[in-house]
Amino acid sequence: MRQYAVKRIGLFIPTVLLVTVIVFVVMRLIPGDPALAILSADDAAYTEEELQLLRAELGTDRPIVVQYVDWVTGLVRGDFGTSFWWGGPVMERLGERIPVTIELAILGIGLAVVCAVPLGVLSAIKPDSPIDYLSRVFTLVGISIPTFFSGILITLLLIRAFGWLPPLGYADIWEDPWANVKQLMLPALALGFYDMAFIARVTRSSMMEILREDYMRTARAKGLAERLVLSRHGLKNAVLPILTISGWQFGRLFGGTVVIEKIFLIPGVGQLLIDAVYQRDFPTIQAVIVIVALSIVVINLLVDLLYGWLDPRIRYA
Amino acid sequence: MTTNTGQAAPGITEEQQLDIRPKQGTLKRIGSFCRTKPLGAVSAAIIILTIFTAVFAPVLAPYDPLDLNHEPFIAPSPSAWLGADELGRDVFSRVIFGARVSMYVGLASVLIGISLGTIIGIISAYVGGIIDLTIQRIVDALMAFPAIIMALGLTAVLGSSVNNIVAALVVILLPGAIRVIRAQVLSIKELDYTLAAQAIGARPWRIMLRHILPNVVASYIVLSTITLGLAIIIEASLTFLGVGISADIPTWGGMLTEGAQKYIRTAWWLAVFPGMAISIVVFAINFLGDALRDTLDPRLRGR
Repeated sequence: MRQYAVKRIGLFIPTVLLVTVIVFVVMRLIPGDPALAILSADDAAYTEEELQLLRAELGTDRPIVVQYVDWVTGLVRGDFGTSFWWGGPVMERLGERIPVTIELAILGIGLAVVCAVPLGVLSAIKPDSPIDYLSRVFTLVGISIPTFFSGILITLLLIRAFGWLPPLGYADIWEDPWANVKQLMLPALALGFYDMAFIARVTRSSMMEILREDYMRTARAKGLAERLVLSRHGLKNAVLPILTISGWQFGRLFGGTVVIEKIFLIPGVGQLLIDAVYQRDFPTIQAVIVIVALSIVVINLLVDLLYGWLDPRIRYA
Repeated sequence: MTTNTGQAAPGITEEQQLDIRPKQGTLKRIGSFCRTKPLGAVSAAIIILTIFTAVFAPVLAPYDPLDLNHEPFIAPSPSAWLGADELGRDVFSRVIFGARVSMYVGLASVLIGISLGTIIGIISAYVGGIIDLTIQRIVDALMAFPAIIMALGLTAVLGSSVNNIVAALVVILLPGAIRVIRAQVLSIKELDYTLAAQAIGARPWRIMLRHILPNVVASYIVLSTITLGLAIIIEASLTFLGVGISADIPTWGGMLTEGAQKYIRTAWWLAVFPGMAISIVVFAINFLGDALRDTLDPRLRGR
């Protein structure tokens, strides 16, 4: 296990470095440079002198490598630079938003797993039955409906069917936990819908594979109740790929939150990112993207380590 | 790929093997695809119809998508099939014209992205060594960015013209394509015919072009189909978020933005029809992708 962990972490470090390099390089693709982008924002006139001054202030007149090292060491200290838009440290606003988005993502993946696993298992143990057919159509529909449309559909359904619209906006979980959960439930459902379909598909295929294994036949042959055969021998082994996929999807969910936060007016990281894109606030965009990407790299590492710990075959492969 | 040798590979049924026998004529193969995968064939028809709609939009649409032809907020009726929006523009005509952007952006980005990914994937796997290692680490890093967030970042920097969105999508589709093709080439590389070609002294580029490339075509087709749905959804999401294609052009994502959301209590047709258009097209694409994967490349099943 230690060898596997060392190897996996060995791959993790260059990935982290490359993620920061990619974000840095992409942000330098701005035609001209940030200083020019700020000054020419509203077609305002500016002098060459102003441009030089602003470049010096932003530090963009220094060699690119120096800028990169400066930015990365800042990241390590939790310093994400100064927002172009409101002039304060990016971290200040970002810090408030991160817990909101994490809560939304956890609720989303939680709902997805809770609904998807039973659906996938049912569909696998009765292949080509009506349940299987329904669940397959449902999962294909699920991965085809874009998140923003399922969000709108859910709101529409509630208005039409129940004449009820949950209060939009956001209540802090520590101040009013009940209102908070009530508000986040629907967004989480819309967010997790795609993943629900995806995880159900994976559950079905991995469960079907396991049902054909010799040890399943042995378990039945020795007279074990079908329920126990399925739960102890079947699902227990099918859980590994489900776990991996759920871990990966959890990372992906941070992408989906951008759209969901916009529809349901939730003040999370996604809203911050969209606002920053409108405002051309590059330090904030840069900070959000790098934080999301690094969280995903870390989550993937944890999933891989967990997988290796649970399944010895992976360690020695 | 083993399936080209004409012998049944283990785990592949007789029927599937017949489907991929190279001697079969194209028409016959399409015919047998329709018979074994009727839903896949219906999906293919939907996609072809959508492309047709996109190309002939000006002829097919009853009204100009930008003109104010109706009273605002007319419900679906014989004169305005899918109703009218808050300005009185014809929703049906706008949905038809919306197919143009979705199809153009989707097809262009998939064609460029998957082709580039295939080339890089083949080189990465065949050349190996430090080149492979470097490419794979970059792929790892690129895969850490959720598609929509990467797209937001790139359009913020590049600006949001149609072609810049295609460029952003190419960057998003690349790593996945490289990874799938590389994995496949790694096994093709060890097959007898590749070794034989090496033994008679064929140059590396010739082996990659003449012996490896033709054998990843099936994966190329399957990958392109599957990622087309993703590309269409991302373009629509960007436009929906207001950072994609400008509001002057009718797009499915654009039709779903704030206006449609604001009026959802009174004018449900503003959001439902464009949303359905995207969902049906993406659904058809995913279904076709599944069917093609089963027929062309059984080894990819379950992924």
